[in-house]
Amino acid sequence: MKHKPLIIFVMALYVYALPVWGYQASSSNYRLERDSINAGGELSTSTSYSLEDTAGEPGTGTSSSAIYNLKAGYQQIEDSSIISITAPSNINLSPNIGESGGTADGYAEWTVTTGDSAGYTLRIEASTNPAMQTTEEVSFANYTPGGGVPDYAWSVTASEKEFGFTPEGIDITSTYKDNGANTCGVGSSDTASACWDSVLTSTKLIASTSTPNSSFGGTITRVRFKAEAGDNSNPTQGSYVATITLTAVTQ
Amino acid sequence: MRVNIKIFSLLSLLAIFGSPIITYAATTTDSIIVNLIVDGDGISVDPPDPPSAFSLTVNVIPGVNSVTVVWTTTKLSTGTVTWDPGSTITDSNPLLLHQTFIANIIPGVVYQLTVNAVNSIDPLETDIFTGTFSIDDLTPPANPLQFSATHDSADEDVDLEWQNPPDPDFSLVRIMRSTTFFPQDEEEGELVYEGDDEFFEDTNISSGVTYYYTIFARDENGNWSSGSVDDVTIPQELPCQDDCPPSPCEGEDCEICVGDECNNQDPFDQFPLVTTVPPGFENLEFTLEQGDLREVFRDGATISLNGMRDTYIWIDYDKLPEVLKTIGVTLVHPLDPNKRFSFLLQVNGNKTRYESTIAPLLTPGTYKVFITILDHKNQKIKRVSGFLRVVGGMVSSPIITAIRKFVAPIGQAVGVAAGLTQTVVVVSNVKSLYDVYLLLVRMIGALLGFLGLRKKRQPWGTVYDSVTKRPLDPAYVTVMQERGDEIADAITDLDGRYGFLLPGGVYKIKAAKTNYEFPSKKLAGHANDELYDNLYYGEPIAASTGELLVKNIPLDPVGFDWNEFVKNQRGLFRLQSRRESFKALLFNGIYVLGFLSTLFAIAVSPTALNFSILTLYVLLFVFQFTWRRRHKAVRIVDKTSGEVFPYAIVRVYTAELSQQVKAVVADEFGRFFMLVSPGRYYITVEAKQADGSYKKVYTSPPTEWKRGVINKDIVLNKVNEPVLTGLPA
Repeated sequence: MKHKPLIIFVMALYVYALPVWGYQASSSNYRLERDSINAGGELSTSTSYSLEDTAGEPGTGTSSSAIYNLKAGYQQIEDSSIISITAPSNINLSPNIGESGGTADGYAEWTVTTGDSAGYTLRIEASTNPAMQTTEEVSFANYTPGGGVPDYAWSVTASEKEFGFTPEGIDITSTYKDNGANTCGVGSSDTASACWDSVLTSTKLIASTSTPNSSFGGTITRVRFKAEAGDNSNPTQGSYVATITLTAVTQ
Repeated sequence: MRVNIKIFSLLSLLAIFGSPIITYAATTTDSIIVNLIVDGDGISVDPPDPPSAFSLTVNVIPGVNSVTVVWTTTKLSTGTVTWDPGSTITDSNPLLLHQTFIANIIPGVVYQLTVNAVNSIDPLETDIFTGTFSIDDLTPPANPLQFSATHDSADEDVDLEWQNPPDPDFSLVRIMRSTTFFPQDEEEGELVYEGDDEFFEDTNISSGVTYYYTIFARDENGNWSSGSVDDVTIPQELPCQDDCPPSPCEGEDCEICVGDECNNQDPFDQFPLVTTVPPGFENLEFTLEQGDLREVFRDGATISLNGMRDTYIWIDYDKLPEVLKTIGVTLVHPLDPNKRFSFLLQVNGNKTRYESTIAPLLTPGTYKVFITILDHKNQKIKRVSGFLRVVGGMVSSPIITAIRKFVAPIGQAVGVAAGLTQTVVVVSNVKSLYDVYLLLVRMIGALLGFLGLRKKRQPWGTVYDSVTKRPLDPAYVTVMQERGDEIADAITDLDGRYGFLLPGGVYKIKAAKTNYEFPSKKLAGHANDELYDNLYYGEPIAASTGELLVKNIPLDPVGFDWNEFVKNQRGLFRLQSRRESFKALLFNGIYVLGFLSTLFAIAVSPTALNFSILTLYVLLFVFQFTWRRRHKAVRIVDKTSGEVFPYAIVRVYTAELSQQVKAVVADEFGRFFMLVSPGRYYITVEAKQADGSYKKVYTSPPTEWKRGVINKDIVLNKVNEPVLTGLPA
């Protein structure tokens, strides 16, 4: 322990250096203490591009415990633990449905991007029950699959008016995958316009992955919506609206 | 105090390894409204679903010298995007929407585009798109250089001279003139000349009139440069022949020119100064770019440029108030102050910048720069001046940039690494990468012990070389239960020692080190050797709780033969000494280079980080210096031949009781370091014989060791008795 004063002195030098580096960014809840410790590099720009490089950086890489993730190294936070979702425009199902019944379709696409090593989940929910209704609360019923899994083919009887959805994309859950023929919840196919389900006020998991996807620009999930009024359902004229929310969460 | 020490230490670890970024599950949402109209006119026919067949749609979005190919498929797909002339990019991510970014597209060139999409699930389903794309050339050419308007009194005209810009797509120049101010664009004013010559005589002039000329360069795609300018005043009368009055610009206040009727003055300086300078012009900063090089020019600045490259100069449109009419720039030739080159900065198409491009200045030297901001009343609002230091060759600036950007940081990092390596070599016995790993683990363990986070264990025994008797540092020691489950491990310290705190039971110990074998075959069957007893060869050990067992573990060196070592001792010493010298020279050289790189880095970029690295260098130097001084190794040397006694055993005994207090083994160079408590001691030296046995060759007289160390070589007669003894201190 004769060396203890010297060791403390050396360590104190590093502590002394901390305020010099300072923190890089903060909000009311978080503070990013430091974004990089390296030996060189700088910001280079041209009229078209901006490049930040680094050199000789020690102590990089990722590690984790049950409650912490350590992302050490140059701008690691840029590629991890951040999730984003695109905001597509509102959609109008088309064509209009007449009083004698008919079917209207439309779709929207959401791109979820995350660098989180555990991937993400994507859930869908509606703000009202039933999802599709007018301001006078005249509604289309939520679509009712025939069994415990989504319907491979959309089916509404002549006396019903229903509104439903089906997701498509590389990350959709097995519930919405199909066998390529007639059944959902089995197989690995993602047949277009197959596996219809209802949108409820409680969330439904429609897509998930256990790996990051930011390296290739995120993953698109297309959600098709369909409304149908059977020939004998006598739909009430009016503007019907369904407010659909998709929530993406890192895992 | 102990708490403070721990906090310091923990913070130090953070400083060394970087701060943790704590993250939690992140959430993001988006909502849309799905509208549906039910009316009386609805068509009661199901609309067709999107085609189930696999199909591809391609859209090309142009950028600046780039395009983005957006291709969507009706089913998840992978595919390739090929452009000719160009290359191919493969997108192997199965997606419905793909975006392929293609950089380095030359404006005006027509590219053939092929997108080949393949259904991710059914590879037999493919769709191919073929087409073309091109992007518009929106980059204006550089301004004509050295534009001058000179009144030719003999011909009664104005001689206009310039150099066309070197842009490969240069098409022509157009000269416009005005009698009120410099024409701001290629349509303003009166057309004087259009063509690709570099000289023109403007004969349509009148006496007493000042003409403002602007020359614009145009490229083949119709882009116009911002314009170079000059003005000339036609005298009222014929120029005097004799006893002419002095030029109005001669004198102390004429910085740029004398004579020639001040025609070579900064043309923007002639306008009156605004009475009240509006706000927003206090700290103007212009940016000058040459490829990747970007410099900021402000009042009084001196910046360096490459004289062989175009220079793009600009300032943000939003940073300047609306009262601004134009910005004029004048460069004064470094060799001839009467030569100057003036041009305008123009607002670009999307109103984000005032900008201009200067053709290569070519002539090296320091150019004086004047930037003048003028309002709509042609009054000077602000004048910024400074210098451009132009390097004529294409080498110097990139080299300096490269040194600053890469060489210095790499030199710093390598130098620190070399210093650390030297430090590790000095304080340990690292011989392989695995040893480095063990050393790091041991350091962490030691730090935890220092912080009180890990209980220090009582040493059990020593792991050592069965031939040389040298303790092995670092070696990896594991304890296993009888059925083979590993329950504890340890890494030996500097003296090859290890220790475990275990409950009662039956255990086996295993020791491992690179290039060593366990259990020892050379000492198999021996319970002890010249230095160690309780030797261990891998047999089960029964231990009761709290029982202290001392087991010394010999390991056999692989590829080391003592007999060969003895035979070639002299040659080996020479070779190894040379290697040691070379290694020392190499590491010290790299260390010094790294240190110099750090000084250089501080000179060009005095950041906290660079000073921290400098501090690290100093600390490494101080540590090595202190360590070497306090752990000074002494040698056992033969007086006659000068040869050393490799792997000799040196024992220290108390003078009064002849009790051995310590024994060390010299290294292959006969060096050892001995530290005991101050007191009265004597030592013995046992030399390793050719057959591997040991023979006592020296016993010193009892001496007072005031500092507990031996600080002078022990000089012996290898054949007979010692003739001179080292003097302990």
